[in-house]
Amino acid sequence: MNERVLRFGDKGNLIGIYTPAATAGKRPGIVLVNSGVIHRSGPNRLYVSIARQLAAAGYPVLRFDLSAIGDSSPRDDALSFEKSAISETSAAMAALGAHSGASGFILCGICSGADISFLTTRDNPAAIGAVLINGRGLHGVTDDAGDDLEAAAGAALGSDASTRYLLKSALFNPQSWRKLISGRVNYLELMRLVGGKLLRPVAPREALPDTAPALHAAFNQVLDRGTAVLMVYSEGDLALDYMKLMFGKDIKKLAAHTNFSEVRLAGADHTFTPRDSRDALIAALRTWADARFAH
Amino acid sequence: MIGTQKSILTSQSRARLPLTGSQEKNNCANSPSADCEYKKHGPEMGNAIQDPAVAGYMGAAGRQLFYCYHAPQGATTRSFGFVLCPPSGREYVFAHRTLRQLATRLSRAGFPVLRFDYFASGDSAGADDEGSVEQWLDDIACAVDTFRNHTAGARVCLAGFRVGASLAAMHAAIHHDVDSLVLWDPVVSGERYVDTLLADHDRWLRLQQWRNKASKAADGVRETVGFLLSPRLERGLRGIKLDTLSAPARRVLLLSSSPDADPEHLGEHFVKLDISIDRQHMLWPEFWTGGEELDDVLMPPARVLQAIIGWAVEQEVPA
Repeated sequence: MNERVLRFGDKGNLIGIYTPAATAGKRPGIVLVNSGVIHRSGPNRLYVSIARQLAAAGYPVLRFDLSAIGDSSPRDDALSFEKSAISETSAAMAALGAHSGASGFILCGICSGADISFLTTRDNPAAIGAVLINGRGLHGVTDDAGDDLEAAAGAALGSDASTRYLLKSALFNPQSWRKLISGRVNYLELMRLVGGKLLRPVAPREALPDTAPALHAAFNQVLDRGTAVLMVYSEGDLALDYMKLMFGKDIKKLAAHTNFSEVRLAGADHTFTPRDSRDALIAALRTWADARFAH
Repeated sequence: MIGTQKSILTSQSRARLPLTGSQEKNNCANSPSADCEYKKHGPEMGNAIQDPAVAGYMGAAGRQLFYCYHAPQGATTRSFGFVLCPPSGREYVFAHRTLRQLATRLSRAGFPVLRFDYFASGDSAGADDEGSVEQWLDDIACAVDTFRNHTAGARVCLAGFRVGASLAAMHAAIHHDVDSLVLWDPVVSGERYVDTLLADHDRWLRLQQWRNKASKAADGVRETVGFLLSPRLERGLRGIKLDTLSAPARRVLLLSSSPDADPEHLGEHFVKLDISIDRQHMLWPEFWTGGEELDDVLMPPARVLQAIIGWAVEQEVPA
């Protein structure tokens, strides 16, 4: 194993593990972004497996901790989480580039890691690829992220206070990390929890959420500049409902874009708890990355 | 004698001791290139709190272990320091933040601290199904050597949590090379522990009834909610019986945060061994479990951490 610990960012407060590519080449570097507050080894140690297997396939990888997560120190300024996360993910790309020689990068993350990956991709053209796994706040990672989906799901479920509380606090509050770690974040389980009501999918609405136009514009900007996007959905995950909610009828137009790809993984939960689902995810990443970048 | 912060932070000036047999075996002391790359950051780069910890890898090639050394802070120089032995699997995911906090607080109280990941866990080498109790005991020996290398031979207190506490006690009973032990909610019966892990997984599976089920692995490896239990690891874990252990160290802090002060009578066993034991019952929700009632318990258990630090400071007085 030839992994190395890197310190980077302001005053070297960020820590990451660099896995060099096993073979020389011009493949992009891959940066793995924290999923919630789980440190850089990822849920179920998945980021370690992704890093080692993709590095063996020729991609240099950096998995790192955002400030105040894992071994990275907190910031001492008042920058918002969204702005600091974008800035720190950009710093991670720069650090990976400095060590590997890569000049283009694929940003990859699960859940909030997907959200931050997309927002950074939007703002930083050094990201030439984005793998967004079960992301549900691609329009922004503010404290209000999830309000739109909460409202839509509330309409589908009936306006039950405990439902609203669970959807708001358990799914979207970034501090409710225990659900995430436990792999208990999924729609059907919440449905069961709030009274065993039948699932009615969140239907695309005529009136899109207020945040939808900006998300459409961001996707168009990213895809039109040539950045490849892979959306990964676990079976039954709310991420797909989120995309349907945000894009409505336009989701077909988005899916038809030449730089847009989508994978749905049967048997996977939100954090890829089953062993087979982790293997399937890594195989899907490898297939997509090789098809897009191994030339 | 503990080195100064400066001598600890730079590999060039770090005090080095002759290799012991164990160090040669583990190749733990001679890995100066493993420390993380410190970069000089200009004064214009503000907005972050500087972290004095050193992170890197220790151990033999192919079996490298991630570690983080927290140098003692402040003017107080302590006569001993801590090697933290983490739990395994999902419990470690829940406990990572707590252990980092413990390390930081101990170092601020003047104690040198080393944290590490066992082989096949966290950032260390090894695939998910390659961990074993035998290997993890070797890893603790490697961590102790690395700690001594960083501190010019400071006395060691092994502080372990859950199965990490069990492994710490087993290491101490085998090697008799540690000064004291902190055992925080230790796994006393490995049989009961493994049965609980498997029951948790069964419970999780029942919640996933609507999903396509994965087929059983042909290699005999079982799953425990996102982590893997090989036949070898299962054997080793089931073999843990702390209540039959010989005296592991002169001084022990036995901490229980569960509703029962001494849930598996380990304290009684240690009393019979004539060990200087301090039993503390600091009731706190079992945050290392996936219990649904724990959603609001997000912060590390401050009272437990404070109890450990308070006990550590008291140990400065000769026993």
